[in-house]
Amino acid sequence: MQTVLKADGVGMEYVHPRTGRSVLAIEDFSVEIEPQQFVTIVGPSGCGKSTFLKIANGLLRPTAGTVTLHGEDVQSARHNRGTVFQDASLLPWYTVLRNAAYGLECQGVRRQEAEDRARPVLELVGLAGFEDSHPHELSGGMRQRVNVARALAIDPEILLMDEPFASLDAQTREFMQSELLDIWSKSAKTVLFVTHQIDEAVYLSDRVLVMSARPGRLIADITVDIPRPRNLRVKRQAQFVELVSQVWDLLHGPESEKLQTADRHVG
Amino acid sequence: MSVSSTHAPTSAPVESLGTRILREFRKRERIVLGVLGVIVVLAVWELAVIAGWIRQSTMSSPTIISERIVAEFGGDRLLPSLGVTLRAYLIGLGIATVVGIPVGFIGGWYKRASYLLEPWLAGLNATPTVAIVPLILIWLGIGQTSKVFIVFLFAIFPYAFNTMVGVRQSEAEFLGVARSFGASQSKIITSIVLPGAVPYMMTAARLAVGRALIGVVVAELVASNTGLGFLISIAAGTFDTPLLMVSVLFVGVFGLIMTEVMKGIERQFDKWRPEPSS
Repeated sequence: MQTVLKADGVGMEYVHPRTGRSVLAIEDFSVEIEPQQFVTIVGPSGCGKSTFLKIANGLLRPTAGTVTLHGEDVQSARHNRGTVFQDASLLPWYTVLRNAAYGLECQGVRRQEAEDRARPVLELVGLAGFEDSHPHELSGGMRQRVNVARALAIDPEILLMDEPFASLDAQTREFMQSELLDIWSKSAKTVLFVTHQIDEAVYLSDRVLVMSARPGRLIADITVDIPRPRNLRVKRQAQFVELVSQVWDLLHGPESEKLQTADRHVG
Repeated sequence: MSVSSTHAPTSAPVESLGTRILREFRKRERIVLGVLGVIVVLAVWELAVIAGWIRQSTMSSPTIISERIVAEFGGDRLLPSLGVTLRAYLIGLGIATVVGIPVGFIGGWYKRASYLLEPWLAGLNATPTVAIVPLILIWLGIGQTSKVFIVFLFAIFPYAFNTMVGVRQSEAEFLGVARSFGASQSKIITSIVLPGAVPYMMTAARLAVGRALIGVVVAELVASNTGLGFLISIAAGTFDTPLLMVSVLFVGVFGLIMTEVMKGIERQFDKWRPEPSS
């Protein structure tokens, strides 16, 4: 099977423009993502997981290592990546349909064609009938569906999702997780998902990549072999609980505490 | 509606006439008090003139003014003057809109352009435009051209300034979305920067409409031989108080109409603005 996304020894170092001091955000991060896999990165805030997503999106160039998409440099303009943002980030002056078509329009597709292609995607995310509404008329969950539709409409090689459910209330979030699994199974996309919610990561993913606090390093690559399709009842199964606590220990256990204290002393 | 009508029969017997009048009044308080305020002032004015407390020659009176309105409508002064004023006003305002918005956009979008423009805009904006009027007259003389230019000067600053601010306030979040989907510069401008600046431009338009009216009247007062402002100045010169009042009234009504027109245009954008800012 051909690898979709491949990161090899990726490092990201920021130099503070005034003090000149450098901060290592990501260190020696390597991973390979197979087609149609759902892979999640979890880690404490500031561990560089969102930074890695930006690198995968070609918006940031890593200071070390390489990232390729289908074997080609990720920064190549020919790539087609769909990003789902943390906030829905819908343009308030456009209708739902125009927002869903916006990614295509940005790629230079004419408006009429873009809207024609976005229509079935809106249906896929369960928003048929809301084409002519404006974003402020939608609930938070519905806005995130448009956010997902906008990314899916461009038929991306990989779907990059940056904590898309973080601003939703707990109930809506769980509902959206199940909806996302449904959408994902229908669209057959490769997904790289970033979150700091462990149960969300385990519930959604085929693989959970656990990152340490700064500098972000890959500390575990856990395969979630809970059978699909999954529903929310999965979250009460022993296997699920076991995996969640395994990840929790990796993030909060004695090992990571030691690392964090060491970090504080250095900083 | 249906709620009040079903409740009416049961509550009617206990409710006295007084409380009913009071309740009806509360519902229409705003209109009732507004109209009442105008009527009272007009009545006191009229009475004061009849009683001889104030001089008719300096204050005129509501009845004389209304008679004069009717007479002037039949004459050949008021309507042509109104036409001349309206023409200069609309042309000047139109040019200010067409020039001011692009200037503001350039100042807001290109950092270097804003460095170049800002001292001029800030300086000219801080200078009361009235003070520049005599200079315009030296340059352009008395006539329609100078009048249009004065209106233009009064109206352009709100457009240039507000558009500049609006363009600078473009949401970083939306710009990030556009860039991540590979949008071109022109796509970013037409889909994010300009629509985002629309509310600022609307505020600018509302300010400009008022300022342009000041501009046209000032221009006609000091340097014109036609128009409502000119009518005001000859009325003042000949102690024709009723004509002066009629002209001022027309300027006021004109301003009111323009304000309402602007509100109507602003409402067009409420579709995507949940709370219309007043």
